Amino acid sequence: MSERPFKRKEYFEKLLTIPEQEIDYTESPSTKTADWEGAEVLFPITPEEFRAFREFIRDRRDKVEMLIAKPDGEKIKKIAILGEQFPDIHLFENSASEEDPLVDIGHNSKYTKRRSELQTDWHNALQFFLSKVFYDGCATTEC
Amino acid sequence: MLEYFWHAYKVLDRNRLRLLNPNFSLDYLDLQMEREGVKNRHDRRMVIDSLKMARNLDIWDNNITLYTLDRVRNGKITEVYKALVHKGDRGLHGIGPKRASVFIRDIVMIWKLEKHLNTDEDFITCVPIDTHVRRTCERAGIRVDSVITPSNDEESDLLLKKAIIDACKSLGVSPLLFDAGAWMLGMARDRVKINREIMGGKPVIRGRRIPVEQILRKLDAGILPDDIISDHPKLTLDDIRAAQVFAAGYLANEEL
Repeated sequence: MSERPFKRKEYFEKLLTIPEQEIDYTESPSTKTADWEGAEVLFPITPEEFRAFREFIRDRRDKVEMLIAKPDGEKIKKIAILGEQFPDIHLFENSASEEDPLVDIGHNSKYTKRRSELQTDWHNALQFFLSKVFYDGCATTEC
Repeated sequence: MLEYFWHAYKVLDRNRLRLLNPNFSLDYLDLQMEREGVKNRHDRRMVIDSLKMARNLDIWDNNITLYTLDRVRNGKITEVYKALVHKGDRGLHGIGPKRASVFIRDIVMIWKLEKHLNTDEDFITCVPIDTHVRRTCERAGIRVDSVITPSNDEESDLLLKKAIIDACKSLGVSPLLFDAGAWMLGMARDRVKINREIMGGKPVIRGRRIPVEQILRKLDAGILPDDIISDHPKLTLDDIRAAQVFAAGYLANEEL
């Protein structure tokens, strides 16, 4: 923030202490080129005051925005209903496409893993885990 | 991507009888994977770290699934999350919050364990965030309180997870189901395309020129997915799912 003449601060501070009808606007410091270059000089405030203003405006704006953008309850519920199909469609199907993360080596849908297999065989469980993190989570290289 | 998984898995499968033997060299395993085609060392390290984790799970028969089930049922889901997510000197190499959450979410959903989740922190472990979830949240009006400026993606995802959990809880909706629904919509978005130049702007399966409507009509007529695929060999089961999800999304007023 650029330096500003002290008298400006005095003038603006005075405005806060005297009644409005007593203000002599002719005393108002004229706006110079330098003022426009650093527009903040038009507001004779300290950096701390400026930051406080900025936070205030930001806070108010966010609160207003949050009031405007309320979660759409109906839409959220419908998406959750769609999610109810997720286990049936993606985790339990008898047949699975070759890209299904539950399909065993060889891309063969015959080998789709089931809950019971994941619980009984540590190797299947490891495979399931790796398929989740490699496939669904997309591994370090290209997806 | 999937290719790397198969390559890595082939090597694991070949050695499956000795993988748990502490004398079996993991360096040798690493070499085998590299030869098999898993060229990225981060991918190989991820596999090896996962195997190391399984080796340490003696109480749970070295089974990652059994370990996860037990911890979730005992209200210790965050323990699994921390064991998986790579941070400092703990966790598994290459496993970030998203990948860990995908695995935990699926375990919780497959075994219907949501009733064991008690705190927001519990839910945070199983709500993965990706671009699709983020986009769906925007459309559903779920927003992060922007007063807090996230310093990185992880923090940003965490804030969104909290926003999802808050919004869903206030509506009595499961955050996991919402997340899974958003995930499915994302998959459908990737597969269904609307282009004025193609089939008069009807939604079609990407790259197949088969209208979604046609698939839905066949399903409605009782034709099984396998038979639809026989009629249209270019179609996959995921395409048919995408058509169904697209229709469900359309009914939910969720623009695709």
